[in-house]
Amino acid sequence: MQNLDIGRIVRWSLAIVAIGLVVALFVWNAVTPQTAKSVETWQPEMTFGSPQAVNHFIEYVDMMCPYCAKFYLALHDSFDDFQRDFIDTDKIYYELRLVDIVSEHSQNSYRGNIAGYCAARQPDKFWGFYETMQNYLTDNYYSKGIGDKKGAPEIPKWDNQVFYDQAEQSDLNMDEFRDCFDTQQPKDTLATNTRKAQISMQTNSISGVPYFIFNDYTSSGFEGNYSTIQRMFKAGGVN
Amino acid sequence: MKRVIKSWRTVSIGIKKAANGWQFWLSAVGATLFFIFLFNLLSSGNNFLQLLINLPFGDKFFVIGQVYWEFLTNFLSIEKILIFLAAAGQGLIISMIVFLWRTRRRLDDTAVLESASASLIALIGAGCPVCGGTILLPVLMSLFGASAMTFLQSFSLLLMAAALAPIIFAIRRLGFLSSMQPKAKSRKESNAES
Repeated sequence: MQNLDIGRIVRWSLAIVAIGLVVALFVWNAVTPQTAKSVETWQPEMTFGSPQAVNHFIEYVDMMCPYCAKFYLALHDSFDDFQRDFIDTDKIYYELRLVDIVSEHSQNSYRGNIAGYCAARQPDKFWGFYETMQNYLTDNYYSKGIGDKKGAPEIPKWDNQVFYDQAEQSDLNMDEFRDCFDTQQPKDTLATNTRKAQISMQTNSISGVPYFIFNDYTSSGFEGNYSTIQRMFKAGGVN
Repeated sequence: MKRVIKSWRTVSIGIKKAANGWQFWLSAVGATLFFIFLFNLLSSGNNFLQLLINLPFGDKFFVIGQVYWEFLTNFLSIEKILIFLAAAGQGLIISMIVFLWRTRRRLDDTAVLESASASLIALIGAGCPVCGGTILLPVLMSLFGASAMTFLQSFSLLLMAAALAPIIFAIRRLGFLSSMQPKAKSRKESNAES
């Protein structure tokens, strides 16, 4: 009889806790008041839209991060919709912050990020270079199960020529790019920005990239498609 | 070796006995789906969790669907297979605990403990494919500094695999106990006995 009572108590307690959790999850923040915040832009060349837009969407990325590539490709696949609904209407000012977070995992990460900053030094060339790099990584590695997830084989160390090839394909001025890349000119900017990102990540208890800040909404990691991105905008207060 | 084979044969008899009823399959499938959701919710960084918390009611269903969809589309990876094994193991354990509770009117505390510890280990291991970190990062960073990053990815996969150990122990224990039980009693029969 005693065992039966204990069983009942356990069963009912578990049921109440489970129901309570589900209800709390669905009721909590059902209507989320979000506030637009004015935020400083780190690299104007790595932005999209008008700085006067109401909401500032910030994405911290590393050039060699596969989950950052997933976000980029999901956005890129529906770019016309994104532009029409959020950029042209001045709802969102999108800023990408390139930081050196995964160099402990990837032998190409540091040079990839330096290459990104070098591309940004040439007017209107950053996004083309970023797209070329992400497509190169996706076509040659991520789509083949290399370096795309936990436990996957690592992407081998690249020769500098890979970065030169991507830069050339992105119509960059190659003399300027080589000069910048070979002497690692943006290394101080990259180090400073990485440090600032790490402080922000610690403050918000975030452990990796992609790391998103959109008004009061912060999150890290990405799986999904453009619908998921639209939900992220919605969670940040923009429909 | 023969003893091991024999003991697992007994365990399988126990599982077969427990599985002889729709209640077993209902709870097994339900619990498996629940644990797949739980482990995958954290395995995409905290983005799905944050969306689930921050979005209005209707959109939460989209997030739940998306969690399952991402699991299915990435199923053929070591991480997702480990997640599936851990979730299915938990489903089996919970159903067997229910079976034993129905037949013996007693909860097996050790099995419950093993199941809970397996969930905890798997949860820690499952989080999370953001680049450069897992749930463990803040803890490991405070212990080992920046060098923690170098072994973190493999460590979290190992943890996922390690979560299977308590699951196997619990299934073995519950299988033995189930093999000694008669078929599940109906509520009426049990109430009449007590």
